[in-house]
Amino acid sequence: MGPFLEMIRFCAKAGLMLLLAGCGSDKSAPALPVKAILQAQLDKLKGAGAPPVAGAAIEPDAATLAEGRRVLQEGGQPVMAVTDRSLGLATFMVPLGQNAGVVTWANPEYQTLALRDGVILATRGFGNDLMSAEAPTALQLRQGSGSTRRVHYVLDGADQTQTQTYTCQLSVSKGETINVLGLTYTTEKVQEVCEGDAGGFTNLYWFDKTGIIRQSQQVREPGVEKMQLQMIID
Amino acid sequence: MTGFSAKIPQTCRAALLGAVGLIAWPVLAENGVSLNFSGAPGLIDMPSGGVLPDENLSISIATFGPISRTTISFQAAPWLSGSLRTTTTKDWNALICPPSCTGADGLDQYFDRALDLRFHILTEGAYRPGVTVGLMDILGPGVQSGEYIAATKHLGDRFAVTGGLGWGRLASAGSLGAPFGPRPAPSGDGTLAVDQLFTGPVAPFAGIEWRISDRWTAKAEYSSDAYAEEAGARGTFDVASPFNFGLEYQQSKMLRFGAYALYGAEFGLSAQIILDPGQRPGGAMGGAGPTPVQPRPSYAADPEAWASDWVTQTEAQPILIENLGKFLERSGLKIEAFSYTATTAQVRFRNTSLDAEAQAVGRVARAMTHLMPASVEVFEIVPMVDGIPVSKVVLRRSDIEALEFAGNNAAVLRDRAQIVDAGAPMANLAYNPAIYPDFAWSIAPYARLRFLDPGLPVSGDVGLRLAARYEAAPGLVLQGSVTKVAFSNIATGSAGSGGALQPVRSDADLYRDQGDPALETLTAAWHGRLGPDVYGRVTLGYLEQMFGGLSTEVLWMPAGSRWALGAEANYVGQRDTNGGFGFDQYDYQTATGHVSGYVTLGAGYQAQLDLGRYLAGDLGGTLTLTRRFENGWKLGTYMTVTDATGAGGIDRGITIDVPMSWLTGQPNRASRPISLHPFEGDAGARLSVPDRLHDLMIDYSATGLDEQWGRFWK
Repeated sequence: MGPFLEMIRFCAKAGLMLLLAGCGSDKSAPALPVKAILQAQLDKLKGAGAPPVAGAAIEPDAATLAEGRRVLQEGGQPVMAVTDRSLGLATFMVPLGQNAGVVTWANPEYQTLALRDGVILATRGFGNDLMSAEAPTALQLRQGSGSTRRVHYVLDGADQTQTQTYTCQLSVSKGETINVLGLTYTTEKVQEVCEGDAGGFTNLYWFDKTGIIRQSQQVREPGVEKMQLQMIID
Repeated sequence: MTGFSAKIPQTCRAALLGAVGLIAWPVLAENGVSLNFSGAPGLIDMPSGGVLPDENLSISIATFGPISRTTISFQAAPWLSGSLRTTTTKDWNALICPPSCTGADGLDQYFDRALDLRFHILTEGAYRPGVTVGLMDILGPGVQSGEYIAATKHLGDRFAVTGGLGWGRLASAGSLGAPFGPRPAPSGDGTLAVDQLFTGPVAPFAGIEWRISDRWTAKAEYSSDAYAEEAGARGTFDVASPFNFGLEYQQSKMLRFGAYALYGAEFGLSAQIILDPGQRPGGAMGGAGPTPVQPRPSYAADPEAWASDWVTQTEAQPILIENLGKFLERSGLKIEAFSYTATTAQVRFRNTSLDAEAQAVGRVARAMTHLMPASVEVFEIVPMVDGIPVSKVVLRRSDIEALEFAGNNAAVLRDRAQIVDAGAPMANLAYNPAIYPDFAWSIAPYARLRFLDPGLPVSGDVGLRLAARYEAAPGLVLQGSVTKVAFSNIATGSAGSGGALQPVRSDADLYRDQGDPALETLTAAWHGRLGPDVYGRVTLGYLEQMFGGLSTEVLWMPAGSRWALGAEANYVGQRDTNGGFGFDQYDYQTATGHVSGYVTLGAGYQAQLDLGRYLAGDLGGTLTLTRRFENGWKLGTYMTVTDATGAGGIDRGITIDVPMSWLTGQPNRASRPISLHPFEGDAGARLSVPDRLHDLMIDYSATGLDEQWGRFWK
């Protein structure tokens, strides 16, 4: 019976989001120290490229990180951490839907990111959203050389679609070590430097040994600071 | 540790921005065009060869000595702009009355309204200047009238030099002679004085602007306006020098202030607001994201899901209605009715919060991908407004599944979608038992503002409105509202001018003064679809602040067509000024109504022609040109001629409606909290009926949906 099953399936996903929000029906569920875990990430983004400001990023201790990871793991679903300095946003997202290999991740406020193997194809709930995009695949990016083409479709203040075309150059640096919620990964960092009519931007992707994008910094719109995505639980 | 994330909630940010209003936007003006004391691109009192960007709206308030001016301008095309301005001159009769105290000479303050047109005939290039030809007060009695040609050239980033020639009042100082013959005396009858243009003496004017920094600009000019009437004949101030100096501060992209020394002895101030109504200040619209599409499993993977035997299960319909309702609740969408076959499902819904109609349709479509059994391939989505099925968007489910993440998916989907007449309901249509009867109420602030009143740039009252609405059955609505004034800047209510006509509008201040609190409206209304493309309305009760009675309307609006035809017939009586239930005070009843034609001209412009009998019994017509911006702004200009507006008299004005969502960047259908309308006279006054059909339906017609189709996937 289609109608009933679909509704149950959807409610299960929405239920996990509520749990993450700390307002699930199960009162005994441990509170997730989101702020303690992610605030340091947010502060670090601010200093990207610049010398770190003393005391700006207070790293959570190992016990907090381990506890956070344990709580997220209990949800039994993949979890991604998303931080965005321009919005002051630090949040966890879980998969809300999947369509032909594109996964829509969402937080409880229904801010969503549509990712194809970790590459942003669309955003919603961020204001100036990326409505749709023609973007390189993770496989193309992982080559770490050559050029790619991007087309971004956005809406202007009069709700008319604007097309932004970019040409991007890829380069790679190997053997970068990153830390994702207490776990260390050795990665290849791919840099995608894009230039187009609407401006330029640089996306960064950290591929781990299994070949997935463990961490990335990608633009929502040119001229706005990048958002950082970290895959915490696959 | 309280919340889930450390972000500032979007709603709070928007509320903050909205509260700061026009002042908060950080980006500075790029082309550096500023306005003069007459609200035209210019220096201080003199115009320049500059031009505002297309479709910009500007408001300028400027005062020096005894003279105050308020101007509203709109750049209608890159080469054409127009302004409406009021000028107030104090101490008008100081020297003259006594002895001469008749007519305008008896007034302590003199008020004048003017209409300007400007033609930007040459855009500035690397070597050539920008050139503007301006006609000031083209319909006026002559005191403010003048023409000019002005050229402005920027020298580098920081300097701009302006030179020009003026006629009329802009040649009252430093005349070079009259190259095109003497200036004929003004006719003063309010018609366009073509024979006056560019005649009489001509005089040069000039000036320089120095942009000291991004925010500060210094200006200096030589004025060719001697203020012959104001300073010379009436001595309201002294013109000691033709040189004016000023310093201006660009507070934000929209707002600029200036302080000036004028004519050797006077101090002046100005505020300039320049808006681009086509663009939301915060860019694209915020608000929570949608629930993504749920694609169907392939038939091979799950053949059972594709079975169509569910159609025969009687409990399917109420369950689907309920689940659709739950799904769409957070988007502010309500399911009115639902019907289906094994392959086609039709959802009739109402939108209570999203400002973009296409976005609402997109959210319904996505909800249907989650809830409709796999055998349903065609989605028919019907937006309902006050019980009227306005149009029908027909989508293939396969397209929605395939295009969710395709590049430029909105345009591609539109090519495959159809928007047609709603048609008759499908056979097994079931209404949502949770919707009817529907009761809602609200207490919200309101602003009833008039602008360009003599002496007050913006006047009116701000207060609280308690409104309630009871929808008994589809299309049958009982509603009422009560208002209480909190603040008003109209000093005391006075009766109208007491002309030959019934004071159908001119007693407005009495209604405001004596009717507080007032029963604003109390009506029973029926709206419905009468047949293919034909819609009807009947409204009975207290229709508006000043009139009550019966109002009926029919509209023929072919789906996908650019035009519509309508007719309205009303029989109304004038209400008592105390805002109660009575009709005794005036004992005035009248039949009023119009035949109306509507045309969508493209680029957001809409023309409307109404012919008929007005409230005071006068016969005539109104031509309205409205620019409807996709984000909800409406700028309108109208002209009314009736047998009571007088010889050559044309009642004209502009109206401005600002949607709430434009200010906050948050989805909101709560209409237009800021509404500016000019003072209405008794001649050419129309009954104000809530929910006229064309206004109600245009947003959900194919034309309205297409304007914001980009929001389908938002």
